[in-house]
Amino acid sequence: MDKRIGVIGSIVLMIALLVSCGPGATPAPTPTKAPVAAPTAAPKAAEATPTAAPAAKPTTAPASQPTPAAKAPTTPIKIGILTTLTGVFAAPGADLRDGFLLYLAEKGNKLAGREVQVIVEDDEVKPDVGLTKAKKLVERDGVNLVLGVISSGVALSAGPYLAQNKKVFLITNAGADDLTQKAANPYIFRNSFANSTGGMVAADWGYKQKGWRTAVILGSDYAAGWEWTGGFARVFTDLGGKIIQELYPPLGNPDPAPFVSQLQKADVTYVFQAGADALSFVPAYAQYGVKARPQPLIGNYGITDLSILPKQGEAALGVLQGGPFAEGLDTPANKALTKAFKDKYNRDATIFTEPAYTAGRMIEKALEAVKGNIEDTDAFVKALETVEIPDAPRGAVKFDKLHNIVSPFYVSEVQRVGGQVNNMAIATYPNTTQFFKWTPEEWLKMTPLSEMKGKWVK
Amino acid sequence: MRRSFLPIILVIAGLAILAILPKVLTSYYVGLLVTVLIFGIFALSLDLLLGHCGLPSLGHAASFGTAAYVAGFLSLKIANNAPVNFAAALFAGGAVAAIFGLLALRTRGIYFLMITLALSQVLWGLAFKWKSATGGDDGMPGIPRPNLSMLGLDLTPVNSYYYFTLALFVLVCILMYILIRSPFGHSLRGIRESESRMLALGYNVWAHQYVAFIIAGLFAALAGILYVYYNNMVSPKDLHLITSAKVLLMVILGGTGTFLGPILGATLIVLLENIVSGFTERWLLILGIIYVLVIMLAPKGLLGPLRGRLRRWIPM
Repeated sequence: MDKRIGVIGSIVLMIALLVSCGPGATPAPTPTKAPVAAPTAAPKAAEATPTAAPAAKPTTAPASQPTPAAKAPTTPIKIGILTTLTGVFAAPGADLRDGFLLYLAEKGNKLAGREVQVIVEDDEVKPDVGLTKAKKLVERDGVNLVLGVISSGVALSAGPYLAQNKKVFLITNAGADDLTQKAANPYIFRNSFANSTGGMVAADWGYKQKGWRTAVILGSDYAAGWEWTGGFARVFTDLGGKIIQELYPPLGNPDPAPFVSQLQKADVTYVFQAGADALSFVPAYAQYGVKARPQPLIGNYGITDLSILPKQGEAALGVLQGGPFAEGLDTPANKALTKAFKDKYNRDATIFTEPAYTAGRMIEKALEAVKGNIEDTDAFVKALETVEIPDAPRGAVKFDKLHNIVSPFYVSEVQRVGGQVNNMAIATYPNTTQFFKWTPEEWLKMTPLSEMKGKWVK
Repeated sequence: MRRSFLPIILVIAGLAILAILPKVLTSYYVGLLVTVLIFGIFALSLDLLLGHCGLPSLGHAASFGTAAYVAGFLSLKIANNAPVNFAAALFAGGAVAAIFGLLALRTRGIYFLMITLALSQVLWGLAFKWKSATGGDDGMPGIPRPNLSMLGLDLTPVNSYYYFTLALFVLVCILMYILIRSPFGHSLRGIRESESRMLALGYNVWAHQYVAFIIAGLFAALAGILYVYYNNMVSPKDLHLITSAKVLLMVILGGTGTFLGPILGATLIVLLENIVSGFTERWLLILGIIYVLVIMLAPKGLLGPLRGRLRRWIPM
């Protein structure tokens, strides 16, 4: 008999486990611990507990909000932050999250008179995990809006799901051109950048201001690398410049030396490197490239981002970047953000902080326009489309017709200012769109940059 | 007599619970259950290699991911013809196993682990770089659910997809049960215990293992197909070492060579990953502690200590 108890016990345990995970699912206001299921009569508990879930109805049907209050809702606005907290992009992911939380804290956790409740989820840089987490935010937590996302792969997988469920998705980093071009959607916004724009600005500035005529490009061998270097190459060749070499080291390349020493002589080297790759690339370039054969280095704005710049040392001085932001920007809003972030989190704000922080302002402005009624999604989308922030940390920003950001872009240089090394803007391209000097129609007719890899050298 | 009825009653009760769950759970949890069932199939397929053949594969995602890519590519770019796409993807997953088996089965133990790892990473590299066909790092989003309108089924709602997955899951369980109870299954375990003795008895050891490798690949392929249709997207992560390692952990955690073990392991890991991570960003630490505890306290997996007792009633 005792053996039978063992069997039944183990099955009860399994079911109890399943069930105890269930009630943890009730949309509790704050992520408290899952209530422990009573170990008695487990199968019955399985049927009984979920009725406790009040908002248990939001099935996949794209119905409107389950909350009945259409006017003047007083419940908190729920905002989901989908970001990366484990893996290679954990540090940028935390900077993104804290940027938005900082803005909320400054506003006393209230936007347009309504309390805001934030639910943070980790996507692990995996598209399938990101999608599952997006489903969790929508179906379990009932969020009104999702923002964040470091990785384009995650944004491309979560985006269609969120749009299908009529949830506004405000991307504050992921740069894949497609997100606001081929995969554009009324519910998807992006206030960071499209990958190719930074490279286009760098090429235009270099060709016209510096007189560069030949260039070598080197990008991490994945979609973002191809799009950043592709943006540079497209504008550079269009102006009459010549790409004489393309190199694509793998993402997470342990040793940049073999690639740097292969670089041919040209007027300039354009690179896309991120995170740890950038950290080791810049000193390697100084060792094998710049000093041996002086050749300016210009890259994406993450190549000397403030979280790695101090570790790159002297080698980084003079490195140029093109991008929508530079940490040393001399705007009042940026100075305030830099200081507030440092005071609150005791580390430097980075390029991942600013879009998330500005997202807070954009959401607030749109909310004010609809009197806090975010539940009326279509009205909120309309309001967000017309939001203009003239004095964001990076300058004046608004959305274009495809919901990508229109903002100033900068060419910046690593300089020593008052004993501190920082990225200082040296040229500004105001009101830059993702299509740069082309019209949207012209641009969309061209081959996507991510498919141009290996075709720039003629 | 009562003894022989108990397992049947338990199976029916288990099925009834699985059938009722979508009625009482919110859609998010039904979605998690779909993931559990899919990884259950995936873990069962790996256990055929690890538990019954003693072959620790660290490249089992190769068949899973290949089938996912083939199903996704055909549905998205050619036509959403469910039977053809299922067959093609299963064939692709099985073919990958057939080719990799030829190479990997020349080795044993740690070398088998390394070579399966290397082979599957080759496919990952291909998916990562071949942008025009696979979408590269960004993967292929927007893959529609299989079109089964000729059967009068609409798989778009998560509940119907759950029942679809459950049906295939039950089918896989039955097939796997027949397989491991068959003479073929017995000889696989015989080879696991002593290759030389089985050779001496006149068994074709290599052929047995090769067939098992392909069958495991086919089941993994089915899991991959279900996964891509569930997520509506596929990315190189599905082919990556991390996916292989995850399913290997599921099998080890639940208990190798058992029938319920891999399913239990899949359930635990999927639920832990998704639920604990909502409470703390240090969830990996919790997962790690659980692994360590299981290995220290129950080295044969969670089902290990119960196995002797359970075996009286449930042949595992």
